[in-house]
Amino acid sequence: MSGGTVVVGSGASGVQFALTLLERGLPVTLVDVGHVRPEPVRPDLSLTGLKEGLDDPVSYFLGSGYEAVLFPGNADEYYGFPPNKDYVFRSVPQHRVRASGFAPLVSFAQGGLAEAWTGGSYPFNDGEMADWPFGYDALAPHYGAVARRIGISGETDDLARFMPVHAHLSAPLRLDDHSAFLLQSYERARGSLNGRLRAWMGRSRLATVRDDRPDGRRGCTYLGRCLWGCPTGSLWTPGLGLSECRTRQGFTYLPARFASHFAVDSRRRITHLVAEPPGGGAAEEVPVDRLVLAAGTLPSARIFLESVRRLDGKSPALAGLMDNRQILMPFVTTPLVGRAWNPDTYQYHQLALGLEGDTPRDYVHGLVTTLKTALAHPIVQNVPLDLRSALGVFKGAHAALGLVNINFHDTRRDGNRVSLEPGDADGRRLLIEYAPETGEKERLGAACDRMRRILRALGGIVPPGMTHVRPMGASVHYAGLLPMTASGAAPLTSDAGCRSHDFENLWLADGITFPFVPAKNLTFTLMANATRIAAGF
Amino acid sequence: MRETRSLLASECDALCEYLVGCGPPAALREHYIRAHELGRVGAAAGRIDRLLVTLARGGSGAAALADSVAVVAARRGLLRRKLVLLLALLESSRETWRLVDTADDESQIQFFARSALAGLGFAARAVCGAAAVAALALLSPYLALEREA
Repeated sequence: MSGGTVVVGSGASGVQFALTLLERGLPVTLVDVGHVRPEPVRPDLSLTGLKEGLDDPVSYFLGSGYEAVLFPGNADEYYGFPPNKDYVFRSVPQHRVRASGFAPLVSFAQGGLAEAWTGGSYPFNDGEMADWPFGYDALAPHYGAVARRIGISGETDDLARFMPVHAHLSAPLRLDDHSAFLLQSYERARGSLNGRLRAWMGRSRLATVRDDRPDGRRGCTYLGRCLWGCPTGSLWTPGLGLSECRTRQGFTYLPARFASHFAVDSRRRITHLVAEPPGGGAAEEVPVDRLVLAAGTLPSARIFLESVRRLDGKSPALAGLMDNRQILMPFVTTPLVGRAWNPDTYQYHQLALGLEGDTPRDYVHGLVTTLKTALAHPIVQNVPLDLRSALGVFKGAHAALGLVNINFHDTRRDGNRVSLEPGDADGRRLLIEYAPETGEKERLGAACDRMRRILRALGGIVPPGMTHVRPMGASVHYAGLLPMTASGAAPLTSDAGCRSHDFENLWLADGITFPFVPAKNLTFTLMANATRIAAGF
Repeated sequence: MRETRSLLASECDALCEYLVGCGPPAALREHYIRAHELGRVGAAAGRIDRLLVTLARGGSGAAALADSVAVVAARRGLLRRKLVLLLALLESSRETWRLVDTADDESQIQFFARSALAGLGFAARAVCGAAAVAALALLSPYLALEREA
């Protein structure tokens, strides 16, 4: 029985890969656990409108068990995801992991982790792709193809020096007042910022569309509900891509299947994928001609390692795990304190800051989010006053509050690796080991000092003691375990087309093949690269 | 250590009066009690924790004193957890969200003056509150003040 092309995972990479084949009239089978997103409630209402219009807004915002209340002393990294995003991070019993120096997040949802992304879509440039077996030109048409499919809004502005301008870049969204103020401040201080601090500011490139699209997605209606899940589809998430796949002829969706491993014939050619019901039960064999792993770097690594272990009796360690280090730096734009603020605005970041490095690889990327709609209690409790006074200060300062999410590049290093270790009676466990690069602390400190000076030039101050270095793993931009290489068919690598050097009919369509991770969100490049791989089929 | 529904209801009233200057709607009070019943708030970690909650139940002014002490002495303690829960409920409820998350226009000078006064008031309350907690600690063996905290 012929299996055709089988894709594992419905995240950003998987759906773009599938859409590319489907657009060419080629059939695709997609295997997925596929936790389902709840239907958005009242897409006509703004966030504040939900507080007025829902029967029980407390349950919607805080969860039926109040699980979204952030109490003082919470030791876990705070992501701020609302209860209706629980489906994105709901695990399955087969996923077992032990991590050292790394806080991994994995998704088994329809659409994967990017169901919770903030839409930042930044192409890599030639300097950032120096370790790749090809340059920007090879990806450019695929950036354009993805932009056409999902809609990328932005502007050709000062940030174009760091990120190429691709085809199908559409007009940017309406700026909120605080972001508009910062951009005006930048224009006034451009000379010193560009010269002395080597910093450039511009509009974020976002997978959010301003205008209605022919495919039925609506232009942004500024409901202030991005974090709670855009109810109009203006912010593209892979779930929308999966829905589009399901309307196409030749697409077969196999949900509720956890991909355990693949099996091979005597020539080590993959014959089928073994999938299990997520809650346990009899395994199923899915016939395969060409297998495409797009489950995300860590889940794809687990499938690869488990398959090799079953074949050879032992499995290797995959080296070179990468992720972007992120630092969250809150700021107060003092000229705006005391002003009223408008909740009916785009909630996520609308501005970005580019900090030039000594080499293109040292570029530092800042996402500037001004505070509009948000739950207040996680912020208010951090003001060092009694809660009533803190609330008064927060209300007065709301219009002036913002946050820069500072992103740093990562490199492949041998000590940062993923392997399988004996787990409990039910199976093996993924072991993740990560240690930061030597000198990272100084590098982060220097960038933070620079960012403070940049914000001061824009009219902002950074409250002391509130800058937060997130643990590795928190940015969820994992990559690098089976890298693309142009230098021969070494084991545990892939070729420039992301075809495995270990199994001739295995392709790796997610971040697992990236040889370097620049400071930018990699999701747009994941999608462009998956499109490029599929175009070669 | 048992917190009855009626105790939690009156506690909710006192803390709400302190935070936003008015009592809670019935539905919010019910959420407050339910969150406690589900164990979301946790228990007192020590004597200071218990005394602060006991003091805060005394009304809006006492809650202000207790909270000011808690910021310094028990920032992650039971009283702060109860207050943060209440704040989360207030900002998510139909009747009260505006009390938490809307602001009138004011000038920068007004804002900074108001914030400075808030800081001074907080410091004064923390000192007075510490004295009140100390007095409670001395009296508690005689008055059994902590029995239900």
